[in-house]
Amino acid sequence: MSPGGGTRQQQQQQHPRHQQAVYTNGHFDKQTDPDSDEFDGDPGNVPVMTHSVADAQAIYYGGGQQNQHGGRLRYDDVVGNGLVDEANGGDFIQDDEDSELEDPEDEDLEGEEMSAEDSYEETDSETGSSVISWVSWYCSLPGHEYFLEVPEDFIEDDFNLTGLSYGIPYYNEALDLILDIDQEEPANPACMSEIESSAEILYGSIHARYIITKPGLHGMLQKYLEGVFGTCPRVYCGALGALSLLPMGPSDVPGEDTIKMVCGRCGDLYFPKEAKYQSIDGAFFGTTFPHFLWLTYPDSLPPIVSRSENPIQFLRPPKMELGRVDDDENDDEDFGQDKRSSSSDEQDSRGTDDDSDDPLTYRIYQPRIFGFRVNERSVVGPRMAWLRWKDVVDEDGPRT
Amino acid sequence: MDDEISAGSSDSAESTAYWIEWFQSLKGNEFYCDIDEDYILDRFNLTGLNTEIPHYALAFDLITDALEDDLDDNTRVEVEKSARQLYGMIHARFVITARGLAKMLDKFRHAEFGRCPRVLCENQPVLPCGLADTPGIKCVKLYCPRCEDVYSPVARRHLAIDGAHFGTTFPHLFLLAYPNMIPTKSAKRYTPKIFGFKIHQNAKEQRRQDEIREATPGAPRSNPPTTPASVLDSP
Repeated sequence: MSPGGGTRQQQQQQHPRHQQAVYTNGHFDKQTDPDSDEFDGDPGNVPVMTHSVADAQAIYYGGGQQNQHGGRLRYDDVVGNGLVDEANGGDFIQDDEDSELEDPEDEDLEGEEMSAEDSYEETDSETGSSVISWVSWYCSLPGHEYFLEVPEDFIEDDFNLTGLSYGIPYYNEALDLILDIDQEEPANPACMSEIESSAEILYGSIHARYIITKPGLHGMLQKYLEGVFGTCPRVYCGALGALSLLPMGPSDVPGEDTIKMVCGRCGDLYFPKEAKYQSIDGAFFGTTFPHFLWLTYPDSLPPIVSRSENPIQFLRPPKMELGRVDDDENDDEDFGQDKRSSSSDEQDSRGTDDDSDDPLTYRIYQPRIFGFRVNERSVVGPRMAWLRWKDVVDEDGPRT
Repeated sequence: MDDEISAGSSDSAESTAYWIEWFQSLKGNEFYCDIDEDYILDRFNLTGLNTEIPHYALAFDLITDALEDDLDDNTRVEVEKSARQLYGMIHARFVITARGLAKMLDKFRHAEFGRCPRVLCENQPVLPCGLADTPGIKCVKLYCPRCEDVYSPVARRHLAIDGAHFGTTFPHLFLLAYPNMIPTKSAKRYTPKIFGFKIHQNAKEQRRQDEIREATPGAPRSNPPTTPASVLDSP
């Protein structure tokens, strides 16, 4: 396939400049037709992400547009605004949208970038004869739907790459590959696969830094809201397709662990549902990112509301006050008392399975044998319910 | 007896084998175990099912391969549907008998129901479980004996299986019958961190969880290497 020739789809799968690398790199072995491969076993409510070249460009320029505040990873921006103490999350969104939509300088910036990159990034969607950037190509590969396209400005700023050069072989070549800078003398073909894998690690490390900046968080939020990351496998979290999953890595060091999904409701880690995501390096997303996003955009997570039912009803240990406890069926001592008869009717009506579909209601699974709750002292009795215990939020606010 | 009737070769695919065998071989029906013929033929075990299932008699004949081929297409489709439902409801009753539990034990040992998606459960095999005993409400869920929670099946084909075909009782009765299948539970838990620091809200929540765990009889105790920070870091 000659550069510039072929159909658009072929180019998406194999970047013309690195065709050889695609074949040699075992990581992409299982890729097939992107149309059939994507989101194979997903519930229907998850939208299918298909990047056409034009889409990819649009995202790319969108990223560049936002990049004027995020061109540099500003740690004071990230740490100093009190985010870690979960303050002023709302202001953050406001800032971002304001400057992105209304700042007149943005257009100039975009125009500049367009002209600068015209030489090799011209999009011609009718004929499909375009060369897409390495970043766009990489992010459009099947199985790479979780990745955000890091704008070139961010990668070009050396400050953002501080410390990355250690431990990555062929660092300069890999960086040139990511930035689509042509080498004077073409690299030794034998090294090409190593450079390619270095570029992957380098891009992943930059990606982990980028997604905790303002534009990065915003971009990931869009993906999150589109349902790219899916729903929690836990029945009482993922009901009705409530979105609460974000990718993360158990370690910030590349090569240590694969990507995991963290649920913002039950706060637990899960394996990605689809096999194609299970080989992604977790460090490309990092340990910080999901919690940072939820703190930045608190509205993105459905609140843990108990409604009339208290999820900790059967968890109440003796002599402990855990908020308003509606004890109906939990206390054996209450068995003969009068108040039980009135409250148990309530419990029966709301204990049906219908309200478990309400995405806001937080529930804990209750084991039952022939409809009877299993006793805590039983061999199979509930031992792990503490794991799912959550601070319950009423409509009025958090309970204490 | 009934077996010989369907043994004769016929054009339609489902008549070439026994209906139950054919049903089991369908993609997505891996969760079902094969019910003993004797169990199905004992009418006592089917008490009450005739009121729940349309075309009960025909469906029963189909399952036991005693159905004569004189149905028109529409009825055939309906009877086929009823037969699946009937088989499922008998299955829910069968798997909580000693024979059924033994058959499910075999499947559980081979992790045929899948594994827990939770990372800290370390690929613990799961058990199928229903959230309701009435058919047609919820699809089958997977109960993990290690974290004691229920999860949705990963494969799409399993989403079509009715949860009532396994019932709410089965996983717990199974573990009562085979206590050696209960895995060791661990107090390990994921602690969210931002730049290596714990988040205030979560840390507070986890301390409360620890309190509840300490108060739960038989709950796993935290051993020093797993959660030292959560104890030491309290203000």
